[in-house]
Amino acid sequence: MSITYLEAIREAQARALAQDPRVFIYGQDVGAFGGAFKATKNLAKEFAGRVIDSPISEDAMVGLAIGAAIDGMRPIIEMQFADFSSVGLNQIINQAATLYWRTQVPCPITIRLPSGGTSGSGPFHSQSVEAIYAHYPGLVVMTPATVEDAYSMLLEAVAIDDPVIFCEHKYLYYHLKADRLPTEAVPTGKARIAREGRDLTIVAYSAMVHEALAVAEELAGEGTEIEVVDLRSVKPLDTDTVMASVARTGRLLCVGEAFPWGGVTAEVIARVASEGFGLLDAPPQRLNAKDTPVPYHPNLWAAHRPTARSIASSARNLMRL
Amino acid sequence: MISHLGATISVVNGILFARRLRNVSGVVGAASIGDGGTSTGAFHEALNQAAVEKLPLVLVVANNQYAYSTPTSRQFACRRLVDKAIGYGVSSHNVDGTDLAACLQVAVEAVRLARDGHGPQLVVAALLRLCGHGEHDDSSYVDPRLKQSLVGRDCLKVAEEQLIQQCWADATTIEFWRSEAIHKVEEAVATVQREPSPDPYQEDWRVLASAHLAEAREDRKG
Repeated sequence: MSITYLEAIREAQARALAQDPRVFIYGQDVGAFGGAFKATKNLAKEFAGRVIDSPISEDAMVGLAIGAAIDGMRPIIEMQFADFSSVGLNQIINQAATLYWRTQVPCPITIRLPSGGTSGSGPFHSQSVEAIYAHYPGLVVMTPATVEDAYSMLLEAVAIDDPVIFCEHKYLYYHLKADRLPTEAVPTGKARIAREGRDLTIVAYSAMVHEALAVAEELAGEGTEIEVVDLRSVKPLDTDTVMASVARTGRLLCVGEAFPWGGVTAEVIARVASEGFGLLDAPPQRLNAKDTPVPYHPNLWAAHRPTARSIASSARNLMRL
Repeated sequence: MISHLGATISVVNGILFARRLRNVSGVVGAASIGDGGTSTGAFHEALNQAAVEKLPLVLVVANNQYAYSTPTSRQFACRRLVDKAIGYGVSSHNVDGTDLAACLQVAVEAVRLARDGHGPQLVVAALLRLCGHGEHDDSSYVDPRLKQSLVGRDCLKVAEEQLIQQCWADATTIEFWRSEAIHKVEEAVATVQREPSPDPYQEDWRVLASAHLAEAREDRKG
């Protein structure tokens, strides 16, 4: 048996619906159609009345989820694309994120964001927006990179008493497969050493973990042993695991698919530079997408975001510093 | 939430939606908003959502003629604000917001219709804001002709007259209610003034319900 990242997301939702009557799914085309990416395929049939099509109203979708959560439910909202979540931004950052702080009433909602670029998708269907949500207090932001994490972290997202932004990567939907679903899971808040190495640490998350692993394999042939840290969640950010890895390697490269200004890679470097400056043998480096909208043309897109090739180049440069 | 107008309507929708998922019947939800809030995208999305789901929502718009300093002529272009209901396919009720008896009648009817499965009810009540938008605002922009018109009546004074006319209360009782309300407010102010101010060093600065997901204390303090 083999299961894809996308199927794992569907299975996690099926299990959440089956084991908890408080769970329902609300989003555009998620019902009989099964979702734009089929992440809710057959769920409307299996769980009658609990997988519901919404109008194209991201603000009202999130608002409805908040109200239902206040009334004791555990809603899952599917944004058709992460890019569209900006239309619901006010509800997410001003209403959901502040609710517990203001009222001590928890806001257990999960908002799924099909994120990241795929070839030919262009500026409005490709963005990685995790840093926007991580910026605001009161949100948990998950960025699973593996089939196992997609499954277990989504189940955890539904169980958590706080609003969770679940950034699932569209490129991984079909490209990533596992033999089986996990039976136990590393809790959210703990990063994972995806590959051990002694010469250089690459910190990555979501799809960039796989680019980093490919680079580690390639540079191993050149005698450079790269350690790859998969953050798993960008908020909370597991600074301890990153710092321990940098303590071993002395060199840090952070890779993210999002735009370069601010963001997760900047945050990681700021923390290491301020709290672990003495651990560094070379200036910490970062690699992000270019500071332009995401281009349509496949050639431009391939050069817009970090790839194994550009990461390898940065890693080699960093080894020479 | 305050100031982000329209954002609470869909939250009420969510509570009604949750009740329906749990097969709880007989519930009616209410949300209120001003004329300015009807221009927000959130108002549109939420009223449309309530209509699509036929939720038992009573949405009351207090049309007090001004959103801060902006008159309704700069807020919407339909002839009557209540006509917006047609576009959403919801029932509408227009009422003189200065008239307690009329408001009661309309509210009872709207709640009944919502409870009986007729979907959302849009109630628009016209009145005039008789003070500023805030303490800092002298409301000099309010058209004096509006102040002199029927819509400029003080709805509390009209209500008092109606209560006496209907023999629901006499002047002494109304005076008692008034002094009781003033006393409650003064007591609340006095209580808050006596309470110690929060100590930032004792504050746990906790923003998540899940304590185990909080980052290290130093990070959160910034």
